Amino acid sequence: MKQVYITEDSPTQLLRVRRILADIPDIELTTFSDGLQSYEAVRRKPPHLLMMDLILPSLHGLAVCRLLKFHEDYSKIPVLIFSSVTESSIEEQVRAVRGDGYLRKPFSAEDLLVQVRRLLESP
Amino acid sequence: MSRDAVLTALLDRLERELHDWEQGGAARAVLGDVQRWVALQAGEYIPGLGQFRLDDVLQAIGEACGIGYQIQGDLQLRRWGDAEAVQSLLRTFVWSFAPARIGCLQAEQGRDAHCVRFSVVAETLPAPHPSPYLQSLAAALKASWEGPQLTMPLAQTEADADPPVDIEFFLESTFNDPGFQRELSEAFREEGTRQLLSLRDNYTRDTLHSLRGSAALIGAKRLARMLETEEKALNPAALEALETEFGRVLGWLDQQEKPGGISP
Repeated sequence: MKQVYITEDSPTQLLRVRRILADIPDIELTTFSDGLQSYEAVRRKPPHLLMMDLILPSLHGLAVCRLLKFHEDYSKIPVLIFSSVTESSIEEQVRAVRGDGYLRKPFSAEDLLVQVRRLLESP
Repeated sequence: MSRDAVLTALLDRLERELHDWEQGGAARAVLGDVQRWVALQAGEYIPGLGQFRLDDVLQAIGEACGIGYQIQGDLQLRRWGDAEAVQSLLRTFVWSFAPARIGCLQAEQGRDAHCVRFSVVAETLPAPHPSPYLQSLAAALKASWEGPQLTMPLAQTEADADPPVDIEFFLESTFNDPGFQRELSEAFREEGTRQLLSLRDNYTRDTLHSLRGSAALIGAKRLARMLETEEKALNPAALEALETEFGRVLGWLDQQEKPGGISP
C-alpha cells in the first residue's frame, strides 16, 4: 500500500481529487489543509508521494517543496504541485524548487491520473 | 397548493413561531424582515404582492443589523416543488442578512407530505449601524424599486441572461454522476459561504484565490473571472458583486438538485 499525502485547503478541490484517485488501487490517502502541518507529517512519516496546492495556510507550497528537497532524507519524495495561479512563470518556479510535477487547476481526471501514476512508479 | 399558498403558510407559521417566542421588538422586526424579504423575492411568483413601502424595507434592514435573532420551525407541504421553492427563498433570506448561519435547513421528502425544517440564527453585529454591505444592499433595493422595471423579479439583471455555470464543464468535472454533483455542490456552497463571510472581515488575495479555484472547478466561469480580476485589484467594494454572483451560482446549483441530475 503506497502512502499519498494531499495538502489542499479547499474542501471542494479535495473532494474531487479524492474521487479521481479512487481509481488507483493500493494507495492510502492522507489529507492536510495546512502547509506546515503536512511538512511536519512528511518528516514524521515520509509518504510515497506528496501532492499539494500552491497557496496554503502557514507555509506556501513552494516553501514546503524547497524545504523537503533540501533535506537528504526527503529529497527523493516526489512532489506534485497544483494551483490555479495564472502567472506564466509558475512552472519555472516549481522546477526551481525541484518540484516533480505541476498541474494547473482545474485539471482533468486523466491529467491527474497520468501524473500520479508516473510519480508513484518513479524509482 | 399554489406558490401563493405556500408562501402565505410560511409567513403564518413564522408569525406563530415568533409570537411564541417573546422577544418584543426584536421579534416584530424579524417578522417584518421575513415578510418583506420573502415578498420581494416572491415577486416573480406572486404579481402584486410587493406592494409595500420601500422605506419599511430599508428600516427593517437597518434594524436587522443591531439585533440577534433565531427563527425555527417546520412547514408541511404537499408538493415537493413547493418545498424547493421555499428552501430557495429561505437561503436567499439568510444569505442576504449575513452574518447569519443556517443551523439546519433541509427538506424531507415523505410519502404523503413534505417538510421544510429550518433554523436560522443571525448573530448580533458589533456595530450599531448597518454594515457597508447592508447599506449597499439597501441602495440596490432602492435602485431596483425606483427603476422602470418595477414589476420585474428583483434578481433579474443583465448577468442573468447567461447561465452562471457552464453545464458542459460541470458535467465533465463531476463525471456525470448525480450523487457526486450533489456532494460537490454542497462542498462548494459551504466553502464559498465561509470564504465570502471571511472576506467581509479580511479582504485578502489568498481567500479570493482559493474561492476562484473552487469556482473554476465547478464551471462557475463568470464568478471565477470576477475573482481573478479582484485578486489583482483587491478592492473590497467589489464584494457585493461577488456575493451576488455567488448567489446566482447557488441558485443554479439548487435548480440542478433534482432527481435524475442534469443533462446538457
